[in-house]
Amino acid sequence: MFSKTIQKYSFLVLAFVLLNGAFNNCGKGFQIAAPLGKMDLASNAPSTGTSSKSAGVFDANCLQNNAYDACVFWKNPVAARGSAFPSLLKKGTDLTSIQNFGVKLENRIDGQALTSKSIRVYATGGSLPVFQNGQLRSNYRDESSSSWTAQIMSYFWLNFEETEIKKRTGTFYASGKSIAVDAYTLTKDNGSDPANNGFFSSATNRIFMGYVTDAGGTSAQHEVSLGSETLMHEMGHANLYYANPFNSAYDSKLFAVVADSNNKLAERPAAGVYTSDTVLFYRCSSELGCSAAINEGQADFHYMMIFPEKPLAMETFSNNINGGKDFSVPRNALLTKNWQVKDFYNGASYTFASSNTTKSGEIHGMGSAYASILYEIYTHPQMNPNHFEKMFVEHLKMLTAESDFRTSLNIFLTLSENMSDLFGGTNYSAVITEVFKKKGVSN
Amino acid sequence: MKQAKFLSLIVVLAILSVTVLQSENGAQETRLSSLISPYPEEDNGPTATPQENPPPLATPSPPAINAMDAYLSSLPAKTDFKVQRDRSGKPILISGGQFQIPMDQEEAFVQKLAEFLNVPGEQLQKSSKKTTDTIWSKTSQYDQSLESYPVEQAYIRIFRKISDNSIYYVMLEAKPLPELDLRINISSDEAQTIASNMFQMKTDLKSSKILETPVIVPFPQPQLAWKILIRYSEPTYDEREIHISASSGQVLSNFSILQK
Repeated sequence: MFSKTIQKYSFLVLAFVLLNGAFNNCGKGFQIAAPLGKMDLASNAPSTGTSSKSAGVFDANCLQNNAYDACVFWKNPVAARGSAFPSLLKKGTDLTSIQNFGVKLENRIDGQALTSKSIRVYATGGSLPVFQNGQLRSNYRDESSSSWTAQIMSYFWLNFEETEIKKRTGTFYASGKSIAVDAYTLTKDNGSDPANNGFFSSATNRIFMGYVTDAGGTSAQHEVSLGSETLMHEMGHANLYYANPFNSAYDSKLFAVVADSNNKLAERPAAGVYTSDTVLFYRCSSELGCSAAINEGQADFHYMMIFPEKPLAMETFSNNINGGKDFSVPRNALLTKNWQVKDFYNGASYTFASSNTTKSGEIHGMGSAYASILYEIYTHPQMNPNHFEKMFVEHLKMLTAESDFRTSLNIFLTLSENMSDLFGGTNYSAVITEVFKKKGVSN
Repeated sequence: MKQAKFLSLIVVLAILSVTVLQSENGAQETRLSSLISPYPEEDNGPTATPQENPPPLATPSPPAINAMDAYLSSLPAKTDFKVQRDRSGKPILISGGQFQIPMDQEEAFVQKLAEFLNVPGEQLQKSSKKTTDTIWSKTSQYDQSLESYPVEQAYIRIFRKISDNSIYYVMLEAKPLPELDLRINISSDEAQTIASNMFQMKTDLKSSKILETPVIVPFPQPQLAWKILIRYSEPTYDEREIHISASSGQVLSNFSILQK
């Protein structure tokens, strides 16, 4: 996800010009040309493996039906509802009508816990769930402090992500790594800066999911982990880490935009942030991206493989059916279909009013450029989506700290040529070249 | 005939100018890397004295373009290969080829590639870490170290197809090192104290962990350093990797390893 540090420091440091609603949780400033609800979202969505909608059963009576281990939201509450809430979702809201996706909690190795060989789910901001007859059908409406549904969402969707990607490609690098998943954390002491945040810590082998606040507010409104796509994004970071633990700080194209000790805007190489600096955001120095952006984009592509018909993130977080934004870049591969990398680069910009300086290429916005490229290849009419899933998994271990979008193009061309025997002799080089070129990347 | 000689002369001149251009680019890169050294002006470490006489960089290799290409061309291969180079002309990866090199000859292959990178073969050892194999490919990695000190992010990684064992991709991340002073003047405890002191006053330090073995880092120039992991929670939570020079105690790098 993205950091909101810049918002916190905006009044302390400089007079920031917030170009749009990037840091607002509500839909303010989220302007879209056409309402997506009226578009055919699924017209070219690839079909491979088990559809996310077949991972459970939609049952209006789910919470009363003991055929299911648990009842979750399909993707996230706003996606399940099909529209935004009148205001940002609050914990304990009655969502019974959309908490209707009956599921089995598979692969658990402990009958009384949400634990598999790959993940161990808990919530430092909630309480440990209590299973009844091996089942855990908890109504979100009744959870003022337990956050059980957030934990169930975390377990079910992360387990489904792992199982599906492994089934489709044979590989999920983070399998069996026993990653601790804190589904709802409220305090920094638990190892997180939890407001509007989620992240993966390789040092502690943990995923942290925080809470969502109202725009400009500080109090927790609901759990970030109600968004299964944000969970899958963080697991995407873990998956890349276990495939190939390169360190983007070694990338000469990655810079940190900081407020220095005098609260002045400054920029440092990523490896050279001073102790007295506050990092506002990281940026790639060119529209061809950097390895940190590739990391963000590949993390997004993890949920795009699971929800190909809804390749977007943060609907509930932003209370917007079209998802969230990083600066003015929609976290939505449908809306950015025709964007080129230069559009993402310019869109992921921030203008600092005090010095009239614009810093472009924020890594999550640039990550959306990468995710958009991947999604366009994935949904190309001449691409077998399962073949691309296999190439995607292979490409993760071929990246380096210095990789950019052009490097990735060459990696995919190499893979396409060399994997053609696995694909019945089909070489997708033309499709890959076409999409990258359309996006403004040529080798 | 005269025309042919003239053309040959033009070709030779063109090759020479390319070589000069490449070495100029290399020089520019060196200057650039010193410009972007992490601590150009502000002193964050208690002993952050700039080194007056930084060790000389390794002699820039005359770009081993033709030699490497010629070597690769001599190998049994199924398809064409491509060598990608960085701005200085250093080869950074080999793609394609589907080279037919048996496993028992892989180490010799790696040693040969190291030669073209100006890296002594003995600096590369097969990694003891588990490789990330898939159903279609397997990898092996040769990590670079100098006198048992690991070089950060420096390796040669070989990718093979499982179906026919051919090599289709090679990442050439090993780097030539200058002559290094490997004396350790700062103990691990002292390094940890320096790192902790950087944050203790300004943050709520949660933990500080040091790796047992010093590593060789590239910034601002290759040198031996202690690697320390710091976790703190104020003003915002972060996990940072800090490198402290093992000879001077200077803070060499400071970066976040959290992925949001």
